[in-house]
Amino acid sequence: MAEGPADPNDDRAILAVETLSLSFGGLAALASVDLRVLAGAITGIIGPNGAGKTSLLNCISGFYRPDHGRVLLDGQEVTRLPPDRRAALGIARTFQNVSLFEGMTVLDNVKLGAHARLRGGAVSSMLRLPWAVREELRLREEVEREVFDFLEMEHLRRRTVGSLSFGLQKRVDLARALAMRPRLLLLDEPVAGMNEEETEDMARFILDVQEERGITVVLIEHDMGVVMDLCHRVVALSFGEKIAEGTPGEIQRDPEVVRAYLGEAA
Amino acid sequence: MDLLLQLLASGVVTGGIYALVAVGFVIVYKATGVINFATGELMMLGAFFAYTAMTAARAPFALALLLAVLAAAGLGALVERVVLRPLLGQRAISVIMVTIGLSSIFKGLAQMIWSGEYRSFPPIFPRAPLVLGPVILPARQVWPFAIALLAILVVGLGFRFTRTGTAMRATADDQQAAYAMGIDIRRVFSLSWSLAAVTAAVAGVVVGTIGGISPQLGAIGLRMFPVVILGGLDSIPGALLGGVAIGVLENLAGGYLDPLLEGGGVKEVVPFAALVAILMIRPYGLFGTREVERL
Amino acid sequence: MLIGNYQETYRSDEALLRTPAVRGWMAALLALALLFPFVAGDYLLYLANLMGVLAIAALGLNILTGFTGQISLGHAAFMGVGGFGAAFLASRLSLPFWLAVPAGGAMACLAGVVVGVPSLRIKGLYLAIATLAAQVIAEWVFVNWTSATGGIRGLNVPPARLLGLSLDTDFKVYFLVQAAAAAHVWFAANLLRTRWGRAFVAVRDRDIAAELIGVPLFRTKILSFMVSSWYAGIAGGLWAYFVKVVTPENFPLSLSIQLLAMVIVGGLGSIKGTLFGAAFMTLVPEALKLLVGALRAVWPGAQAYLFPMRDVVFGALIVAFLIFEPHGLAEVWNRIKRFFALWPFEK
Repeated sequence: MAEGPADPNDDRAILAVETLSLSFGGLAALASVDLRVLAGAITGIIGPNGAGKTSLLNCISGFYRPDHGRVLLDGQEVTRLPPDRRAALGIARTFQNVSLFEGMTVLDNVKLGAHARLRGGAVSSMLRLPWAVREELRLREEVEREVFDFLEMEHLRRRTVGSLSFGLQKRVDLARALAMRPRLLLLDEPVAGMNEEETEDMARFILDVQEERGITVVLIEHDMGVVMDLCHRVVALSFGEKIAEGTPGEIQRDPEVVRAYLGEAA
Repeated sequence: MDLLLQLLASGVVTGGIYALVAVGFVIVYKATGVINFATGELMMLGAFFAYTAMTAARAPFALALLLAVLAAAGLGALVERVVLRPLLGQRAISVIMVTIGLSSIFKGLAQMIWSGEYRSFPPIFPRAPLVLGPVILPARQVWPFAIALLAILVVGLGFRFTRTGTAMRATADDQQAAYAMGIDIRRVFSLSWSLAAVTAAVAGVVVGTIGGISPQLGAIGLRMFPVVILGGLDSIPGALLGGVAIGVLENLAGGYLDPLLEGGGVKEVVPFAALVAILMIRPYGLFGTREVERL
Repeated sequence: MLIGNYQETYRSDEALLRTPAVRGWMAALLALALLFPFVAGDYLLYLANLMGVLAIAALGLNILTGFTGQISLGHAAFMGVGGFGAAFLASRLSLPFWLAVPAGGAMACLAGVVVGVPSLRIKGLYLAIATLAAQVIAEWVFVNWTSATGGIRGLNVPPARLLGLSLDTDFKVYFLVQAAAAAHVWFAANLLRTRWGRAFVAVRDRDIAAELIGVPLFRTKILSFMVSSWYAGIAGGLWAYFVKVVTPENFPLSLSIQLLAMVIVGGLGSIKGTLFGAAFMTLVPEALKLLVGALRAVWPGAQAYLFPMRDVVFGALIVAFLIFEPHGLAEVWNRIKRFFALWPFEK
């Protein structure tokens, strides 16, 4: 198990989800879910297929509007904010099946992550005014230093995303999220579809993100090995309800969780 | 008051014709996701087919109409196979532009074959007007309207009660599922275009008998957009209602507002103003389905 | 043969013209463009000016449709707003052209905002139809708002004056139009490889993902509409000074479609393709005219077929490019370039 947050008594929640409910045409995807994510930690969300994990992530990042309940970032309510505003406040995410801009280069994809942080206007860009040029150059240096170097992908910058393997695309997806300089990073199945080596690389990057950058991570994952190795806390969902919460060890022994995974018969 | 009734009546007549074209338009959109900018030119070609059969081959009207329908069905299938199928699944802009390209080709070809001059159909219908109380409808409007209604009825019944119609509805509903059930999707696409060309051709003949024909007749195709947006691009009942509503609206606007303005053209512009209003209030029309967004 | 491209600083790696060869070709092109009017006759100058004006408008349309993915069937209307705006300011308020043309551009920009607002709620084909409605309505306004547009007769535009020089011939207008075109190509190149240009493409390719990583959809689309209609407005204003009169007939739906055809044939989402497309689609009808002229010797009736033939060729080009060369002339150009870059080692 990984090292915990710097101060174990610091229970400041960077993200709080309160009585969150969401349904699609009468079918409940989330039923009054409560969640507190500790700053600086890695929190895992597990559960069988259809448990509502991705729906929860979508409510946090703003793609779905919940029917009831609130989402708070650092105590500030963001439930009604559109996704781009939440991104600007520091919520970044990656996607289960990567959602990159395939025709663009890796460099442009990653630069796009920084969009909300930049100030340059269209007119100053068109006229190539000095501050616009400076901002773009600073962005380039930043991206090289903070992202490409960090994720060991300098050699990919001019490649078109569509020409990369799925594993590398997932790394670009993470790179784009890091370029947002987030406080909270949501990862939707970061190692799904990866081979063993790619999985190990990705797990290492996630740990580095948390340890070196101090970014709070929330991840959904089916690979229990990865969840148990990386996460400080784990939350288990089943049929849209939270059924357990605790350290990885506690979750593994939790009878509710075992039953959710193995079915009622067990 | 008489003017109002008169305008309403001719609005309904125009609307019936619009509804017929709109049904074909909507069938193509439902089946293939294409909005067809060549609709007006398909009308124009249908009208010329019938006209040529009547003048050059001296065919009686019913036979000429039948020949035009067959020719249009063939043309529709050909267009689908040669031009639309290679672009299946392409971006919206490509699909729009290819039908615009087609409309330009059709217009040019028609002008080369039949020249740009204006022609009128030989007399076809009995002359006696239909008198409904204070409203007098000239025969050259009543008969075409009856034909349009009949065509809508035939298409509607075919859609509802034949095997092919069921296959087409199933495909429109859920392409994947229809494919899995063994429905030949390509045949459905091809049939949709044939059907659209046929409804356009019948409407073209009908319009031609009312006001004469020329290669410029295709310009009328633009008026389909307010109709199908009002009803919803993918709704056949919407197409019928939209057709009548826009027909009435433009006749009222033309009758009451056009005389007030020097430059005129109110009749043409009011439906588009209505289109904008509809889009702002109900982006998917009265009966259209809202698209569900996915990640 | 080009082997590699090494850059030592991020600044040079981010530059517009990244290699000495590219910079050399650019200089040669510029010299050629400056020499052209001194050797070309009136007819060629007229064509060059027409191309320049249409290239600006088509470039604007490509920013909106090719880069941002928002289809506009109303770009001629934006040109009209710029054209009538500039003509009104020049003829009724005697504004000099260097104020009237940008002011016309600004008016078009505002019209772009108005037309762009529905893009918040409506997408794709529905938005395309909304812009079609805007075109139809704008044409009607041009005809009927006689006090501002002169109605069907339109407005006469005095020649542009610059440093005491009256730009009254195609030769003099050439420099104005080409300078404006070059500037707008440069603006577009700068915009499209920086912050908002990236956002345009992101919105086109995956709007939902774009929003989730912090790209505001609505602002981005509106901005694209504004930039795009500014280009159209400037083109309309230059058009006014180029043909000396603006009438509603100058800005019909068919011009919107012609601009779209330029973008399709040239290459969606390519600046250089837009220029190819504008040149190509301007030259094709002229070539047909020459062809028909030559045919008249053997076939006196040929003249009657010129106009319908133009329609057929125009439509056939659109269809053929979409089916066989969907990335347009830009891709053809790239293929030729790749061939020479590797020549003679690979064929």
